[in-house]
Amino acid sequence: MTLICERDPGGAPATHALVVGVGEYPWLIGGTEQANAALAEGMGQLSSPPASARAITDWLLGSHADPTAPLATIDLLLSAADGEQSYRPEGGDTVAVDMAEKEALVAAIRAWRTRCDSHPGNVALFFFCGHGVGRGFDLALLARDFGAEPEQPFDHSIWFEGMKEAMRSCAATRQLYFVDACRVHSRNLMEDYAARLDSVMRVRTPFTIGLRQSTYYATTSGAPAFGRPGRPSLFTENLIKGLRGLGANDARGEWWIETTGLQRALTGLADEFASEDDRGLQAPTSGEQVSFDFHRLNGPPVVPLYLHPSWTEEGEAPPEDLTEVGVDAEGVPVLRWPKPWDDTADCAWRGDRFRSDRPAGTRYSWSVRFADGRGMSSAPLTLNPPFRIVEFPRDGIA
Amino acid sequence: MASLSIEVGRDSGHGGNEPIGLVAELDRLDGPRDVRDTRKVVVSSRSGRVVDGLAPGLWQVKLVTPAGQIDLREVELANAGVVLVRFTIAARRASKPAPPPSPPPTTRRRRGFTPSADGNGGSRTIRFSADAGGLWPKASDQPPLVIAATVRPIAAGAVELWSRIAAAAADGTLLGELRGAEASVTVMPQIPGVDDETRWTLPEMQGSRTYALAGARLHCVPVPWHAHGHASPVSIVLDAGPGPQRTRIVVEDEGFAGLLAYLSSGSVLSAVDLIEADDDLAAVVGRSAQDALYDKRASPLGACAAGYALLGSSVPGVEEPWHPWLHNLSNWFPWMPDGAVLLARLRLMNARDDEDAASALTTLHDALGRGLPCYRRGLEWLLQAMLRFPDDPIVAAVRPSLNDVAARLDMQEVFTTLMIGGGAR
Repeated sequence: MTLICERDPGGAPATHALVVGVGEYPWLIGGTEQANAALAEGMGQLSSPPASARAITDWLLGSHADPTAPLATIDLLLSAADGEQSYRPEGGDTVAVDMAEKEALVAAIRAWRTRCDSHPGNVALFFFCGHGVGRGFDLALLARDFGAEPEQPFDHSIWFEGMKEAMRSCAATRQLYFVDACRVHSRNLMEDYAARLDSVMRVRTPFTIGLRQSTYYATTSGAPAFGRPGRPSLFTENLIKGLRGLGANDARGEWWIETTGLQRALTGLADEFASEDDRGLQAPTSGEQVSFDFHRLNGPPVVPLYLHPSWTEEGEAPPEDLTEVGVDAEGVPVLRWPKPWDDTADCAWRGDRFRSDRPAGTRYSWSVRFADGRGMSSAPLTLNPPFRIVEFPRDGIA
Repeated sequence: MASLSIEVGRDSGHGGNEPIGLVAELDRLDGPRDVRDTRKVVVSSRSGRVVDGLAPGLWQVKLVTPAGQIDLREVELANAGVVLVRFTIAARRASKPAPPPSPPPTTRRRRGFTPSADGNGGSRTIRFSADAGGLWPKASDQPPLVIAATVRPIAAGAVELWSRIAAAAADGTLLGELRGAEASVTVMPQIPGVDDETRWTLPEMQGSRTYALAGARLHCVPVPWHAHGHASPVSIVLDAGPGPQRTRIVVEDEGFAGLLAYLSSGSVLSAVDLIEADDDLAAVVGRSAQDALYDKRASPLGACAAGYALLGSSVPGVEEPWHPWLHNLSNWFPWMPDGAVLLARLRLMNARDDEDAASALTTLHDALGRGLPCYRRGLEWLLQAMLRFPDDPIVAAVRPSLNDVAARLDMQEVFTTLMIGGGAR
């Protein structure tokens, strides 16, 4: 257990986070121990999970804001293939971090549960990034020492669905689970009926009154998830974008991240909003869907505003017959971007469209100028997360 | 006052051209900041929907697509005017389902990421990758043979019942059992239409449960499907497009199509909005469910879809007016496992003491004894409920079989669909 953050909530509701990133697996391919190929099922070392766990911890420490449940604790466990067993918060000192081995994971989960049990207004936040394997609805999250006991390899895993069920009797009425792991069916798990998947805690009845659980999986059941060498994974990167504002709404007059809005942002970010290389690679899915707010933004989030000239296609250059594009906010010009379309902080050409990131909650219109001197503008439209695309036919703005 | 006309069209992509009802939310943007003027309406792809009585001004129209995404439009409404807003929704996205485990391949792709010496291992790493294909049927020019059959209830306890279901699913003998059932028929496909879909319309069958085999896919067929005063056809559709052959169940019931689509995409809250916004749907499955059931206008299987949405988004310990009809679903339709699954879930969510827990366990036993739920979520909730009673001998005995069956599920389908045969065990 490594409490990166430990603030006394003084009996008030608070947010308690458990963040796990497992990249080093000594008993899997490329590990320091003798790998058992049949047991490994092709799984090897990962560099993305520690980076993902650090990125989430950075966000929690630097950005998380919930006045109804301020951040109280973060327990961080890491296992990095490069041996970097530490975390350094921005402007702080480097802290040694415990390895994400099974015993440490069990202790951390139970201690986290105890902290979450301290108040019904608490928010419980669980994040795991590493190897995962599935069997039907079951998902085993693999600890660093997975494979250390070849006769019972799944002794060194956490049964996520069981753990989540056990948390239904936890006092914290808002619970968030982020699982950034593959869910591919494992032949070993399927065949091994003796596999003792460990829910870590006893599953008890009754459910907590008022309980709201929201679960986010990086991918669908039976499918792989993707990481990037040395960088946060696709899912984590999109999750942080969602938390920074793409999953926000201002339905209550303030900008909050709400559970269903975050899921929609994650879906959009993985598909139509993704880069061409990453599009459709994995489909983030939610478990049972309940709605609650858990993070308040300081102000309107900055989200993409697109202009799509409908006669261009993915990968093409901006249309030859355009000489300038611009954006007005509530009727006031805020951007003029002329040819030759050199990227700026304010505007860029991406794929088949112009992109300008703007504060949400404001009405914007795009304007264009053609080479023959004609100019046209779109009707003003409110920009709401996750993004707004304005389609622009050649003969005028839709 | 002003009016708004909303139309929903479907693009020309493959598949999914049945009429569908979706939920749209109207939100006035330029009204007083402290007063929200919003309303939710059901919009059909069959015909437009006109909403009258709106204040003139700027309105936002938010349509939740079947995939759970949001499509936003803004319109300026003028007094005594009608403004048309048209949405186009994409057909069901072609995607490869998650394969169940395959027999050990002779060669195995390299999986996982092993850092190279220079640290540049490419831009992306796959963490775990099963050998795709596995038990899934290979692409073929020929559509699969479709056999529909009803089966008699098996006079066995839950343990034996699930053991037989699991064994049959694992070694393929279920095919033989279905062929030998009293009512079994080979269904001929219809000629593909402009949408390039191959479709089998399933006949009305006599019996307590109907299944359909399409190649190596076993579908729980949601029949009888009666709603809005008439029976709705239930079909199997073969998705066009690349990749393995993939069949799915389609219920040609516009009122429920949106609800089922939302359930499929995990947009449970939109499904609930749809139930609450559509008076017709609510009358069949919700607010006046008891009267509707007595009138035989209701679809018990449709009511289960609503039950999964409502219960899936509800909060433990909070009484809801629709709770009583979950009891009715369970008691009045004993051939249908899903009613008992829902009731067991409700009892567990609201259990406060040992007596309540015992009542939930009794209902769980009942649900297990009814066999394979029609809805995929039913199987999931059965497994979750069983976690709470690990020491119960029936639960302990059934659990391995149920896990085995669950591993064969197509997780993208609303209705229970299993891949039968193959070497899963």
